[in-house]
Amino acid sequence: MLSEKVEEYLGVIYRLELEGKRPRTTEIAKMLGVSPSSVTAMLQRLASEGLVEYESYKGVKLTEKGKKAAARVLRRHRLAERLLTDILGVSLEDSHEEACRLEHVISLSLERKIADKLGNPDTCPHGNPIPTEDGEVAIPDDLSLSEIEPPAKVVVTRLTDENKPLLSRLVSLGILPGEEIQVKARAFKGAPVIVSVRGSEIALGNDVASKIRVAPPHRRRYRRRRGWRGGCLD
Amino acid sequence: MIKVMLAGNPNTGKSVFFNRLTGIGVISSNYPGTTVEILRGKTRVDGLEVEVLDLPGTYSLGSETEDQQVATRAMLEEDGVIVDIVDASRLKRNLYLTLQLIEMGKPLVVALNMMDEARKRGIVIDVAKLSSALGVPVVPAIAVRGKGVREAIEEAIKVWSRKLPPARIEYSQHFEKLIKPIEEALEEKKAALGLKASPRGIAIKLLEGDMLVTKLISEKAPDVAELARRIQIEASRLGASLTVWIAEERYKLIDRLLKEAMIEAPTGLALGEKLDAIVLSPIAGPIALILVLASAVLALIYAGGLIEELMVSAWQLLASPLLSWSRATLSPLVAAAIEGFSLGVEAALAVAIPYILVFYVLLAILEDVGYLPRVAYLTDNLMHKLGLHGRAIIPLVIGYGCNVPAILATRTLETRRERIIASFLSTMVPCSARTAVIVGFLGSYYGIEAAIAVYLIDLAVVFTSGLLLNRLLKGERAGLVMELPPYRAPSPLPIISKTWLRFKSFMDTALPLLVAGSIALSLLDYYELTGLFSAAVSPLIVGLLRLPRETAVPLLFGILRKEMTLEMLVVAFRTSNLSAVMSFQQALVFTAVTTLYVPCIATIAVLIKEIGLREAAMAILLNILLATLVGMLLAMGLNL
Repeated sequence: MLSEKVEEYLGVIYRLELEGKRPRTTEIAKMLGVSPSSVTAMLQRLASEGLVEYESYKGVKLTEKGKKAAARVLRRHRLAERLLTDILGVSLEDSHEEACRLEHVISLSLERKIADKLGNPDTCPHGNPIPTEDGEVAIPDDLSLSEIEPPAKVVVTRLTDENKPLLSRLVSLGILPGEEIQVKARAFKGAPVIVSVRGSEIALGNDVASKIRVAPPHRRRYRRRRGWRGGCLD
Repeated sequence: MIKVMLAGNPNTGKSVFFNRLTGIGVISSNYPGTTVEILRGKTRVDGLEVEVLDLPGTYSLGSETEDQQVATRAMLEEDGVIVDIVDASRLKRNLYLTLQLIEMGKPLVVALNMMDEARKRGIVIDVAKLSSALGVPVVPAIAVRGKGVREAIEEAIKVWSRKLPPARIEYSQHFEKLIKPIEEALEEKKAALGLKASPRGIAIKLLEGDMLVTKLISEKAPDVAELARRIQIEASRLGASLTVWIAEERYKLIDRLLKEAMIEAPTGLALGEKLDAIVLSPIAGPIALILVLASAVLALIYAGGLIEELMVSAWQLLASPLLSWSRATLSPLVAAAIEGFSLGVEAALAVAIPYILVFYVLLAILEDVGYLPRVAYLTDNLMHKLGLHGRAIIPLVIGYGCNVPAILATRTLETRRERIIASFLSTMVPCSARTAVIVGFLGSYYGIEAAIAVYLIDLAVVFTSGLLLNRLLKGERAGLVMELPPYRAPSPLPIISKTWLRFKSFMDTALPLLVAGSIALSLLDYYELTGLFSAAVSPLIVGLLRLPRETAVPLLFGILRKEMTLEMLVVAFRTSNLSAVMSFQQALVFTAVTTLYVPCIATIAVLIKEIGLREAAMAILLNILLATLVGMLLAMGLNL
């Protein structure tokens, strides 16, 4: 069994990879609230255990083994969330944080019992898929809006953020899965991107744009895919 | 009396509508239990007295910002009729709020504003069809030209007197199944809950997981809240985020009904888009920004100076006979008080009215034209380094006029963390009063370069403290999500009304403190209590900052009114030839410290109200520390 710290790192790297990024030390440090030097040390350890490929300055990438392990952490997290909301009556908002603690202490046999009790659900309460026991998870192939070169026309596939206020703000402006948006301009790399949605021009900061996943217009069918109506990736 | 509530998205001409209805003399007061100010005015329609409430502009009824909460609470708590002002050229998005308002079940009229702009964009709307599809009256309007405003309000009165709630709008069967049990449960308890919104509206808000409504229902009807929670979770088993699902339902409905009621012909590139290609570009954009800000500052100094001269000489004409009379006939104590009063009024005439008023006019023009959101766009990356996002530049810019409205303007920011950072940084932005010291003292006695140096030092301090706060403060960050409204020609009515309201709120909060402060100072001086203070702080002032001992009292009085420091210097040194008693280096240190050390008393008051006592106290402590540090470093660097 991997240590809690290792699992936490794998979880964060996996999440960033699912968002289509190549995770960097600084980003991981920010997400975990630790110093970049301790991240570097940890990544070197993970690399020596064959869980990640790590080159300083280039970022980090999960190996097959690492990916499997990370998917299992994610599975336990999302199963725990289901258990908390469906059986124990914990609210949707609180379930994520509680599950962040539980994910590290659930053994394989307990995990199976939970899955069994819940009737092997496909998704977490936030609507995201639960990986299978073999660590398989459907990752749609789409891009983040921050990577799109304007001008372009795209369709939103999902919103990878569980921050409710942001989600509400985006949908109130018409930015939600299935909606066609026009990427109009970006002054320079890293600057906010200007999109045209439902007849209005909206400026989205780079951090916000990176949480909006999009695909070329003809791949519209994404939006009907179960489990990707938005919400979190953990 | 009938209550009409104006609701709508930002930038839909809501305030023009409001001003047309009520004129300029309106009251702005805090909405009960919040710090958000809303405007109330009165008008008469067919002999009936009508109270008009201007709700904060919002894209959705939610509870993410305090502004939004006020709009949502008005739906839950107020009885009245809603006039929903929508931008006809952006119906596809504007109707999102309209549907939410209709869900709330209050009598409602849609005012289809900016019909001229819609026509220019090649949009043709079938008003009758739209009205029957929405189940509410729709009145076309062009509010800037006064068209349709009266008609909308008259229609609202009609709807109100018939007590006609809007027709029920049905969403998909699948979704209706989720709403139904909650709606029924709420219907049963309607009387006990005493809410003014429809059970259906509340049920949908519960499903959306709206913070405000969920909290309210959990308190008053926990079983219904529990029911809603269970339905939420059940829906999530289908793999659905309800926030997104509900939005999808509304947009699908909008698209369906607009297919019937609206024709959109494609038009060429609008003038505004061509302008944006320059204004928002990486090189020309910042250059344009600097040019715009520089010309605003020049206009401010020139126009302000002109008005200042006129007003001060007019006041002196009036006051000097009064003063010599009081000195000759009244007791010295009363004469001192009268002199303090006169100085206070003079300061108001010299700083407040010319500079603050002109600043507000300029700001209102930039706002009305639509340039401010572009400023936010251009500065987003810079502001991120300070833990803020582009929209937070607006309070900081407002701060150059007066810090009080700047701190109030942070209300539109999403998280508490941002509000604290932006409020704190605002307290260090040199306001008009500080500009009077920087330009009027340092600039005129020692050269304009010195004044510019203080501005640059201030910018550096603001930036560095932002960087630090960003590292130190924990909490959620929000990114930039902001509509870029189309450019519009400025129209006088909203500019006058905005300027007046801001100026009035300055007069209400700052002016009484200013005059009272002046009187208090004169009295302190009369009883010679100021000497005690300067003796107490002289180790700091003389020892650390290397300033003359006489500057202690002016610095103390600066807390009441920053521009007073200049007048008090003259009093303290008993000469107006200040360059003879203070070296250039000392003047520079003094001005920098004055700019930074503590915001004035009015700012402190509003800071406590907005971010809380503890945080405000920390902010002021930090101000003092920073000012001392900067003063010390300058004193050392300049070899004082």
